[in-house]
Amino acid sequence: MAAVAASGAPKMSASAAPKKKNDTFNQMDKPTQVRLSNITAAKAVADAIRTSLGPRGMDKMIETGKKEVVISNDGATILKHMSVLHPAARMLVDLSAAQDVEAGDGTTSVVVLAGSLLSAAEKLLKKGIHPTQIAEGFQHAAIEAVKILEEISIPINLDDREFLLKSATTSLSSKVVSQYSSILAPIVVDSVLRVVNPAVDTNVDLNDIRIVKKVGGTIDDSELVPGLVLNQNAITSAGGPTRIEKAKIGLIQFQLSPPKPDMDNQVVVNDYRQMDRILKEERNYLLNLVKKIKKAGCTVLLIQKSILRDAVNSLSLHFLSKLKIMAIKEIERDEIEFICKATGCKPIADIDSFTEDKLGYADLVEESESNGSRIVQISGIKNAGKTASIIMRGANQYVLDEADRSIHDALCVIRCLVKKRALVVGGGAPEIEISQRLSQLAKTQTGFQSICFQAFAEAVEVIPTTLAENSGLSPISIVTELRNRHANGEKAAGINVRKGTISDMLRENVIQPLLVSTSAIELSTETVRMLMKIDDILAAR
Amino acid sequence: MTQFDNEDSQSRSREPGFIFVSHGNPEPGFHVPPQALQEPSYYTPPPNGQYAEDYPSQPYTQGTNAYPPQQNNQGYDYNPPAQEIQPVDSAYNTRTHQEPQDPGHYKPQQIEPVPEDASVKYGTDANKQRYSLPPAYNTVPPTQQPQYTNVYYANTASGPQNNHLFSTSAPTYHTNPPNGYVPPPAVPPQTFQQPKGYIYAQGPYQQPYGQPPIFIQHTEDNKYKRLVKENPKEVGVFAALGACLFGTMSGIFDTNNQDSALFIGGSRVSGQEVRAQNVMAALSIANVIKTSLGPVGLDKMLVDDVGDVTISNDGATILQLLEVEHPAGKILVKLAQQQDTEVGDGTTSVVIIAAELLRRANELIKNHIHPATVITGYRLACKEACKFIADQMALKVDKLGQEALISVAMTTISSKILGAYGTFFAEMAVNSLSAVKSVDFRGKARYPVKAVNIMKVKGASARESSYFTGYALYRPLTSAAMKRSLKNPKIAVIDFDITKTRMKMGINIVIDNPDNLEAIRKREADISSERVRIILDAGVTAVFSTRGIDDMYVKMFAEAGAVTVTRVPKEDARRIAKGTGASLITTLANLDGGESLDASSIGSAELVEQVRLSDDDVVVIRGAKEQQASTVILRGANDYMLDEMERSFHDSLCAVKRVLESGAVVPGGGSVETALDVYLESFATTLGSREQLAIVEFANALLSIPKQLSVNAAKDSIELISKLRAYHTAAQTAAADSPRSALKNYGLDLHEGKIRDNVKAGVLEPAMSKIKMLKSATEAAINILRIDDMIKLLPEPEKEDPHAHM
Repeated sequence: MAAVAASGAPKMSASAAPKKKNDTFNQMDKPTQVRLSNITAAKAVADAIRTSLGPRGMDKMIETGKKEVVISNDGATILKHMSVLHPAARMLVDLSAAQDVEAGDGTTSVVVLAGSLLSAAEKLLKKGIHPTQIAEGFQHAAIEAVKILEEISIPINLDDREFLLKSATTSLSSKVVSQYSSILAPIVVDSVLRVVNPAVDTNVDLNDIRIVKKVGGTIDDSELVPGLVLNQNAITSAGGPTRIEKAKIGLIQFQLSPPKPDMDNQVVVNDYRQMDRILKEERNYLLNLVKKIKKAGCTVLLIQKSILRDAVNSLSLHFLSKLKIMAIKEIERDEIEFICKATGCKPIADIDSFTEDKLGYADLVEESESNGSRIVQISGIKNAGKTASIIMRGANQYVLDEADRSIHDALCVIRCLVKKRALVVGGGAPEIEISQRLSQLAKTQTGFQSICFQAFAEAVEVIPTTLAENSGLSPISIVTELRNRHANGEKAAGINVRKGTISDMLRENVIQPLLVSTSAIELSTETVRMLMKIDDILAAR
Repeated sequence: MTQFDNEDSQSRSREPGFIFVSHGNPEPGFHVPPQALQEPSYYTPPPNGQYAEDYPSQPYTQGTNAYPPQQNNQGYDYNPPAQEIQPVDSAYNTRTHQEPQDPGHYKPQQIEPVPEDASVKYGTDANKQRYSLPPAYNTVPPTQQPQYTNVYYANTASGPQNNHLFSTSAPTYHTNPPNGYVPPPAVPPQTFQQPKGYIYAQGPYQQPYGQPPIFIQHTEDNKYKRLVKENPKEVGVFAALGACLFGTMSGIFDTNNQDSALFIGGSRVSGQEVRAQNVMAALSIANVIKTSLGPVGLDKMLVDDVGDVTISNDGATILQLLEVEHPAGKILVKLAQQQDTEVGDGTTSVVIIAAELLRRANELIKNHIHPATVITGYRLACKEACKFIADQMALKVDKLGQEALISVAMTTISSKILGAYGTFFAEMAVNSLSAVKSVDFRGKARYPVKAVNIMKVKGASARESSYFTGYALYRPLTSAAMKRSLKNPKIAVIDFDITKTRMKMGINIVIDNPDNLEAIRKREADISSERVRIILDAGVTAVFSTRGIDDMYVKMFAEAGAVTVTRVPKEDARRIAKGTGASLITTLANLDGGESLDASSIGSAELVEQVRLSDDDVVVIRGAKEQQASTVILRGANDYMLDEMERSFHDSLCAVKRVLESGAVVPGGGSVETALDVYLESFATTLGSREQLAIVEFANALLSIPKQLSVNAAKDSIELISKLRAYHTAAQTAAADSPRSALKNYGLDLHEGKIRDNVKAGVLEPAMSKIKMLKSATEAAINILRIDDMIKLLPEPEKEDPHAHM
């Protein structure tokens, strides 16, 4: 494998003349070849998702190895599904994933930016600048760029709902659900505001926001539900209730089915009277459990999924339905925490500890059917924790999945604003501003640093260029005009994709969190630095 | 493999828009398609006029022949029907030889070509050429040529891998070239090679098949080149600005192609090419089902890999059975299924509209209109169209009365197999659905389609189908000793076995004394007989069990004068329980730890009886206490017909349900589509932006429905639609109170080839179905349009099982 990588490297560059295999190890230009090969691979990845940037970016359809179809506009999702093989290219995939974790949005931008920085680095390499110098130069440039971003950012207050809505709308505008942003943006903003305390919190746990996806209906029908929504359905096979008012909710982690003896142990019967006793014992065992549950006042029973035993059997369901207790089984282990938080109940592991103080209270628990699917909704919860449930609906699974991803991105945008309460404008404006200021800075410096600053400045312009291209505009005229406007002090001038002109992004309500932009610059620069410092690829077992 | 050599399949296959360019094998009596005659080395046409007699001298007697001629007493003789000999005259032979592309006798009805719309371009020579087979096919000798008829092969798992759209079990000549056959140039794997299914999309979207694979095709690169070509000056300036901007980015694009396979474990198609592919896949899907649209649409026969046959006219059913592999095609199949579950009708139309929207969008995009603009335009148009239907076209059923319901059912039925008995079945649909009306706790009336029990009984004609109120179970009484008819039964629906009780796993019965054995056995039997006692003592006289009842217990029931039915399907059991006010009893256990049967779980009805239908005994429950059920007994000649009858009847039930629940109808027969076309075109002119073009295309795409309707009915679509559009324009420009505004109800009369007031004629459809159809078709089209890149990954290698035996 090492030999393959080594001999493969020269092939990738047109300039390298083919040599004998052993020669490659003695050649001085091998590190350069490795570097160039890495750059080529990484750039190919950047190019692959370039067309999905921006509000008019297109989607990718990916047929995975398992013949599943994914249609997406989200950079991280696309790259996750493309099985990228080249190790250097994989770094860009990871970069996109890192941006997804850190900021949640801008996953396409970060990769496109990294691709562009690599192109710049390639040119500098060819000029004979040492890779570590390039890495260092870019690092300084990135620090300066972040400073510039912070300088032009607009601090906000989380009470200002308008700004939050606008940022969510900007994030949603590039997705397939863009036309529904007037519905989805308030859902996103309200759900985040519901789970955080704006005065104290500096982060949002997105696990507290639950998205339930149901096929059927259109995205218009999506809503933020007061209370909790369960994916599971009420069990009605024994005629149990599906609607309980003034419900007391219990969450049990044990099973309502007769215990099974071990394989080694046998119950031995040698008299016919014992047969009756066995049947009766089973009944009484279950009856006892159910009666205790009823005694605690529980009217809605959530049962955790168990792999060892049946969660319920027909006998216990029969008893539950007789006692008018609504039963919902198959609650996943990882849902327990959320459900407990949302309903204020506590998980009960043992029947003896089934007491009233562990129950949650809700005004209504109801299973309802709409658009061909059933959901259980718990509303009017007393002592509800800080959680939010969103029901997503869509015509088919593809739309639904993509809508889910878009909502996640928008949630992340709001989360970024909670983390770092500042905004920058969108539409390529901050990138042009960075580019111009860095160019000026470059002139104040000497040596390789100056050249690196200049190269970095030009590389950053890839964002407005791509935006313009994807919108069907002429990138040259747009970018040159943008430079002009920014040089004249219009810091918020960006590409108005809808009208195909340049306008004030602040007035157009195209805004994004500062954190998305800074994290994109920091992460992409770091990835480029790391790629610069690689001079050999070896396969290890 | 069966050859369907009837005239219909032959003539239809000649239509250029049809998906399979079919050639029956050159058996005598059929006119040999010109393509097959192009290669003289394999096939020499017979001398003039002697076609029929000379044919046997052709190498048909040789063993390789797949279709040996029929043999009768005089040796080989083909007595082709007179009308089929006709094309084989001298003029035909010579001409087809010299000009193989000349449609000659095949020219179907000449219809005036209309620009911008290929769907009516049938028969023009320019189009004919497009649909001819690619040269590679002509190198196959006629006898080796697979036989393509209008039979679709559904779900053939054996289909070769490169078949992206449909698998047919037709043989592939690629794998088995005959001697002397020069194979077509080798096509590397991973290309979108022409699917073996011989699919020809209509319109200019065909892929250049057999081209080398394009791993990464960079749109931007092309754009850059185009830019250079069109705007050299601008590019000059651009280049001067700094290669970093665009130059370097395009630098990425130079180092592409084969290496890219390194970075992506699969193949990739981008830009216009993927759009063209997706559009072609969508069109192919639409082409399959478009001939089944409307009252005169025809059916499809689908044969699956085990040879099961389905004959259907229903879009969703046909598409479900086809094995569609192309991802974009799958979206359309899903679309039809979604329409089927949500509305139940209009599955064919929704696919046709979606495909037409895509075709037109692709055309716009080719003319340098950005896809995003097209999408915005489509969305706008769809919104406007839905508003227009709701405000202008919809009529309240309250005003039209009961008649309207029957008309709605009629309209749905008319396009299906039951069309011939329209009124009969329409009334049956309305009555049977009205009988199951229920009101939910919010006070809203519901008409559960599932409560209408459809039974299929073979034998007798469709006319003898009948309907009655009550629930029929396709099960006989358990014992002949039971009463055939029982008045005012008390009904229990049980979901447990009444058999000898067995102990559970893990319980061993160990007997020391042989005397105890009998006691144990007796106890085993007694546990259940005690249960039977409990049931009988509760006053139950009719037991419906989803499971079995042992003979000894059946006897107990029979002696007590009760009736039992065993092995009732669970779905039926639930419905019986619901209808009679009983509950499905899973166990007799009570809250005291003992066993008893609660009176509240016993239901009642007026009558339970066993009647004889055809050859089978059927138990019928009449006059159920809580909720009425109705049963429709469909009679038909064979299973295929019965299945299709059931589907048709179900569709009409769904349509009636929608109308009953939403209360609004629209005139059918293409009138809504034409009205929308007229309206949207004028709406488009009120917009000053690029979206205008997309809206106009959206409007025209809707016309594909009336066009296809008239084409299917073999009527002059141009004339009819021009007239229809004129009427609708008049209606929309007229003042609100003017009598001319009633012209908006005009639609097609496909039997007469005229236009008429479809509200008066009783051609009505649920308004909700139309709105939903437009919404989901637009949604699906946009979904596909947004795709500009398709990445197909290689199938994952199967994981090695570490525990597997080596």
